[in-house]
Amino acid sequence: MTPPSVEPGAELEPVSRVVTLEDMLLFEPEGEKNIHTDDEVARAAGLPAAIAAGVQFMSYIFDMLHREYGFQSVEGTVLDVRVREPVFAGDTVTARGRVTEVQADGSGRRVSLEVWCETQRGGHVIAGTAQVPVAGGEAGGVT
Amino acid sequence: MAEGERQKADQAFHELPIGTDIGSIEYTLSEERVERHLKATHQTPYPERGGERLAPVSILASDGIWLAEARFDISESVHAGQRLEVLNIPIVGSRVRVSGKVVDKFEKGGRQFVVMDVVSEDDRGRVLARGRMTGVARYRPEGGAP
Repeated sequence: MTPPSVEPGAELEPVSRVVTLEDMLLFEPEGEKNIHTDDEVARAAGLPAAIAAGVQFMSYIFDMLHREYGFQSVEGTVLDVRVREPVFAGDTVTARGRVTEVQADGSGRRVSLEVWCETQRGGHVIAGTAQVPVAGGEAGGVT
Repeated sequence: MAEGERQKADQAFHELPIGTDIGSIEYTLSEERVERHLKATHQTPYPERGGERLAPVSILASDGIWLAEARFDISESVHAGQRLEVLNIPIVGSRVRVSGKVVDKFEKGGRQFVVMDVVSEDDRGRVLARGRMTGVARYRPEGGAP
């Protein structure tokens, strides 16, 4: 098991997914018709096709943080992102993170990170920051 | 969106007072709902805690959207940004109450933005998450970046 990244500059193990139309439909309530599920609604709003919901990619970042810092670090995590570029069905989206600062926090540490999701085109889909509480000496990995 | 609808949407945006209580919605965090979210996002489920199944906290990121949808027509809106502070992991099968209010609105780059503060609590009285969500009131492709 690899220790979690707690050194400034350290990069997290990325999480990469191909976004399918099925994913986009499952992310919305069943039968929902909006710019995330329906090409016609998206075109009426000036988009070339349905775009994936921005919050879908917050999930990828939460998953990346969970894999890196473990289940015990989920509560207390703060994620703050801006949505930048649209994602269409078939795009590959990769969540990435880089540690920017580590501060003592009670008996543990609080890790601050830059986080973002990018597509195969290189653009950032969402980007922002995260703060994750890490217990002293805690091992990483999914638990 | 037809011109008449655009005008109505413009008027609704300009007449929306900052501080507006958006009210609340409730939903059950059912097994089906959690499975659907896990499948859509390809996430690894958390381990059980105290014999209870837990839902991924990312499922709470959509709460503000469901709340906004209950109050406004957001079918052509897009999400511009979100801050989410996770306080407690939600438990599968629990009822979740989402409440919020409008804390800001602004126009930038030809787009209209609404900012909402949102709180998600469960039926055990635990605050699950607090968030601030910024959405484009309605998408205009000619508008600039947020």
